Amino acid sequence: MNNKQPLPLPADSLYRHCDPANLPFGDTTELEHLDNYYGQDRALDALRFGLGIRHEGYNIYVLGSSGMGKHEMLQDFLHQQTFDRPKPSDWCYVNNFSAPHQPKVLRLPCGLAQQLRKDMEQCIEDLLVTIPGVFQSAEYKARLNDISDAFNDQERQAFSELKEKAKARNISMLETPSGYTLAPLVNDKIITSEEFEALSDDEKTAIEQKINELKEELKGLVQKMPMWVKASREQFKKLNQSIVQNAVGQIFRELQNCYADYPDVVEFLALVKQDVIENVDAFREEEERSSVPENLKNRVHEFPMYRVNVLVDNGGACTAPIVYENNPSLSNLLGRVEHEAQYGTLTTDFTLIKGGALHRANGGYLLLDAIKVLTNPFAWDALKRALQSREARIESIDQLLSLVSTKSLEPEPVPLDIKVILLGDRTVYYLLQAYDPDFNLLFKVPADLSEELPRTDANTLGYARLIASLQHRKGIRPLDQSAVARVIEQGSRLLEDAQKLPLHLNLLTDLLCESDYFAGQANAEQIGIVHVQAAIEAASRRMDQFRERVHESILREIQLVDTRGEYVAQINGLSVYQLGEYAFGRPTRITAQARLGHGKVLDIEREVKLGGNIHSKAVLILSAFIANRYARDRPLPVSASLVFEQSYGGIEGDSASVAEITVLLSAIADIPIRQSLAVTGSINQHGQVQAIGGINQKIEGFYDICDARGLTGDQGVVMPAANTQHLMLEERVINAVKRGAFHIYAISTIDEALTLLTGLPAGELNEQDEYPADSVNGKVMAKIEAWIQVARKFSVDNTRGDDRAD
Amino acid sequence: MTVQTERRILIALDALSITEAGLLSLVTMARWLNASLAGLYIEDSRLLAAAGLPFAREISSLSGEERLLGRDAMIRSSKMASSRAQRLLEQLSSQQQVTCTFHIESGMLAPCALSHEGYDIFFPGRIRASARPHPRGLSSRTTHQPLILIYDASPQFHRALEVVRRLTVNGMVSDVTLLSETALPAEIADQLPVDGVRVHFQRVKSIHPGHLPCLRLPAGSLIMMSKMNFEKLSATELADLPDLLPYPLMLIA
Repeated sequence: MNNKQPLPLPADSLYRHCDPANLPFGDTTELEHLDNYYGQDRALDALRFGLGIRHEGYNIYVLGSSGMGKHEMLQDFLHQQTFDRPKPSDWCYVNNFSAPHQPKVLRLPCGLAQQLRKDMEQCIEDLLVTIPGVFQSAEYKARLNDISDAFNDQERQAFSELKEKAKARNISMLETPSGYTLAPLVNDKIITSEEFEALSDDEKTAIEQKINELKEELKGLVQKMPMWVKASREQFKKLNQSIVQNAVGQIFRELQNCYADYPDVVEFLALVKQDVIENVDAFREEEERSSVPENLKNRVHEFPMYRVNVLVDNGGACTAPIVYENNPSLSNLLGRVEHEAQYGTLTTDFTLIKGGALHRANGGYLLLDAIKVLTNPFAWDALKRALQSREARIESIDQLLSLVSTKSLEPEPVPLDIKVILLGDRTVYYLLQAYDPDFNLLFKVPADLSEELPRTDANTLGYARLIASLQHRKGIRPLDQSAVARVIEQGSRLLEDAQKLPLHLNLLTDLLCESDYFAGQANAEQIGIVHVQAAIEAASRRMDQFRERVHESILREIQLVDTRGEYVAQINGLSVYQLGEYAFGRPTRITAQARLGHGKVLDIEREVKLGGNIHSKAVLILSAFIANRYARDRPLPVSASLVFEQSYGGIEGDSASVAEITVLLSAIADIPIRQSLAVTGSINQHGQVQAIGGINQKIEGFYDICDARGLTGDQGVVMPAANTQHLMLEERVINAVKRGAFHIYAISTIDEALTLLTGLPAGELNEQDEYPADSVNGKVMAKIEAWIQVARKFSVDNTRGDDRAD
Repeated sequence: MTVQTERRILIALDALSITEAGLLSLVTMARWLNASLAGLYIEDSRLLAAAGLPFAREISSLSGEERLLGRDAMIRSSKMASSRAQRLLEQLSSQQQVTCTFHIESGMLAPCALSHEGYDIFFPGRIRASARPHPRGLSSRTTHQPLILIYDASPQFHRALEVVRRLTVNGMVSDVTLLSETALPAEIADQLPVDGVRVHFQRVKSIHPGHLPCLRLPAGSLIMMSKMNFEKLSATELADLPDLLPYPLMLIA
């Protein structure tokens, strides 16, 4: 502790300039380009490890906040790696002739799937030409007629014999519209009913007996007909098969020779051939039409069962596929079975199977956004199942939920050899680690991207090369030295750290593109510092309407903030509003009330549930600090309340701790506080001041208010000394500091803050363990001692009163 | 100068020979030949007599089942068949703008039909009731029929040849097979080639109509021969022939 008032920071410590003169180039065209993954050595090592290791479960999770350019970075890295992965395979589905609802999968070397598809279509065309031709041949017709004639002869002969036999017995066998009848003959004419009636009973009986006998024979003959028909049909079928076998044999022999190295394809071709032979009639329809080439092409679609559905065509690619699925829904990941409407019903077959991202990336790398996978229903579980079983099985949501029981396809699963790379932020990674046991087994490699790198001279030059790379990649104008320097400075400011450079490539790219726009507006050939500055200001201007409104309400004294004078129990705290990527600071009045009580500091924000947990923690810390410093061996007879005036929203964070202690002590000891100063900083129980966030915005926020009201020369901000390294203040503030019109004080202890804000020495304990009476601490101790006496007096009076009552 | 005489075709129908395809084929043929049609439906007198007998039974050609064959039912069935034949013939004739008459007689199919003078006579061919096999590619067609022309050196053959030429020119015939007991005279051979039609010549031992059922022809073949040949048949042969003939037959008068 000391009573010395801290000196304001010099202007050159408020901003870390990047001197263009130290950049060894004229413009970015002179610079060698860098990869997107500059500064990511840790993550790259992890990626190399994850991609290289072939064991199960070594999939990768790339951790990094949004805006880092993870995708581009990863794609670049993957494209530049040469791992000894085999060439990716092509995959197709073909008909399963024995179980059509379970299509078969075929694996082929890359580029061969499309060839097989074309070959099969050509094969069908050839069959459509060859088979009808065979059936038109004279040889076939002759053999067909032989069978037909044999049947006819057999039938004719059988009926003729029976007819003759009947005739020999004077019975005529006649054909009726739907069969046969037998009638007796007299003189080669059918007997009339009158003639029949005239016959004797014996004659009638004899005729009826003959007719009955013949009738039974006729019945037997008719009943033999289906067997003869069946036999004939068998003969037709055998004839057709034998003639087709020869005709199509050559077509399939050639194909089987082409694919001799692929047993699965050869087996498939044999099954196709067998099916063609068994169902040859389908190729004989509309023979005249089929001879027209255009119609042949159309007719190929009539034979889907022989076609090849190319699920994955790597098109001759010789490197492992790198697939990014932007919408990782269940069907986009695993594929789907589509349906088509036919006469009011939905039908499907293996040609309607569509592959998913897992299929396309098979043999290579699949990049997925973790949050998208997790938020797509069933996608995460499906991905895990696929990785666990190492196969991609096409499942629909309907099937998963058993919503429908209609017959659908169950395609054979595709074996997977894949590295899945999830991209997401750290929160998601740690949540998955905590709550999903499968995650740890399946994603064993975290690749943690750095958000920043130290702003050393070497890194500054490297960063310049990164800027040059982005400029080249985005096709924008080159940046001159000064522009590069300004971009680097802005990077540090965005990072809120003068000692660091950000690796958020998206923000950097945006700044370059927007600077290029302004350079274009100015017809400049290069991007200069003015264009970068214009881009920065324009971006700020686009977002700062709310800041203007807030500052305006302070200037119009709608929100009360004093920037001059001294008041007891009133201090200017500093807060930051974060609106997406835009943040601004503003002063906020904090007040306190203190009275005789029982050592409780009432945090009003907390009481009305506007204070967050960290803020509440900070209030408890400062209560402990006060109690420890001023009432270590006795009760603290103080009740105090703290409030952020005119605050109607939530308060969070501990950056107001220093202000809160100061205003509390002011309230206790009736010591006025300088309103020309605003203060920020958190504090621990020992009174040390700790770093806070948003320091630049906070300082600029208070400066803008003071500047608008007119700088008095004694205004400034009290801030933690630990935040000095973060200072990247805007030029207007620095200029004011240079002029001595505004001051930034860096403090390390609460006593420094008390000294600055009250104008009194904080006061150190002397040998008698007492603070000087005219110091802040002394005045606080005196007030507390007085309240203790009052409290003691109250206690004695109350005891006496009680005795009297007794 | 060729004198065009009006051609008249009599189509002999009974309950066993009515099909739309067969009638359409004939009506189309009549149109290209510029002929008028006379439909003649024959109620089979033998069947009516048989149905009048007390023990008359019908054996189904499909199942072998036995059922009563009543005269009244037979008459009703015959009337229905004749009505259908008339309706079909008139409808098709109207569509093809062919003049058509229709009448009904009782008797036996071939003798009745042949008793009408001055007509070419067309028998559509029997439709068997049995479930016979139908190999693909042999189905009957209304156009592009194979045609079997029987050469008998009669004057009617030249008329038949003219009919064939008219039909081939109009695309109704795909190929023509000429059957002859003798070598073909040169002047006939010279007339045969017709553009787009294949012509075959085949020597046979006999062109007697009684042998027609023994011919082995592609399904849907149309046989064409001189009417006078049928005069060689006995009454019994004539009565039985339509039952045995599976192909349509055109007799040229």
